[in-house]
Amino acid sequence: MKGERTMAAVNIGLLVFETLAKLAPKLYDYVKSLIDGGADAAELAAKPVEVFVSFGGGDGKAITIQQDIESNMLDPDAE
Amino acid sequence: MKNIRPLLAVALAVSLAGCSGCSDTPYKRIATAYHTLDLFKALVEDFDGAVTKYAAAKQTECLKTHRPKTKEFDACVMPAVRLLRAWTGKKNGKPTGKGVLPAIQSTQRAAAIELKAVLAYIKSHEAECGKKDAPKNCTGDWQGLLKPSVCALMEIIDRAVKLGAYDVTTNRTYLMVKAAIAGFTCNR
Repeated sequence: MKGERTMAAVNIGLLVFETLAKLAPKLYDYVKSLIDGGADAAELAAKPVEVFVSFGGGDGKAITIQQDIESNMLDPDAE
Repeated sequence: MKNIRPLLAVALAVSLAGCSGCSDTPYKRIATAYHTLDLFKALVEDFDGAVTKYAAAKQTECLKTHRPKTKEFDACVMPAVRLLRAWTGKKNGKPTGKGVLPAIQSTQRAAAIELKAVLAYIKSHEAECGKKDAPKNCTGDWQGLLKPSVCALMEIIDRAVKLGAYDVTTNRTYLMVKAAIAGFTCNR
């Protein structure tokens, strides 16, 4: 009895979802993209600059201290 | 709002039921790749800061015992200078073509471009990319692009650890990157 009820609920759910998909394809695409990860991937791809190592457009701090040290060396080309 | 809740619950349940393989969709693989790139970026920035701190401390220490522009000062700072050169790829202002940082910067950019192309391909070939034996266009080779520079990063980190310039034992970002690249086999 309980199983039949569940099946009936699932069938009704399917019917509702299919109707929803036909009536509102955009909503269907949105729900689907949330579930299959498409929304995450699209959001991450939209801000690729954040995965580049750019130090906010600079060269990083190490290069600055290197220049400072080498300027204090007798032979900055020494190995 | 109360009326829409059961509807959404049913829609979600049905979708999930019909989506047993969704834990590894082509989109989720791309999202994982982006998160991995983000982790590398965080590690690179953290390491750059650590190398800077170590070199600055070394210079201060050497200036306490030696005058600048002397052979003794040069010898004192040399371990830090070698590490800096291997990292920045510059020697006395000139590019050496061997720096780990510039290599990572260019491969990160290449991998991000590759991922964008893969995402566009997946969007237009969803059914094909959803299959188990999906073609290479659906996954791309971002790992292959990153591998040489990530291996070089791990190598220079090992070097910095030996010098006492970097601590990895409690470094969460390092440990996460290490786990993320568990599949990479670096030749060392």
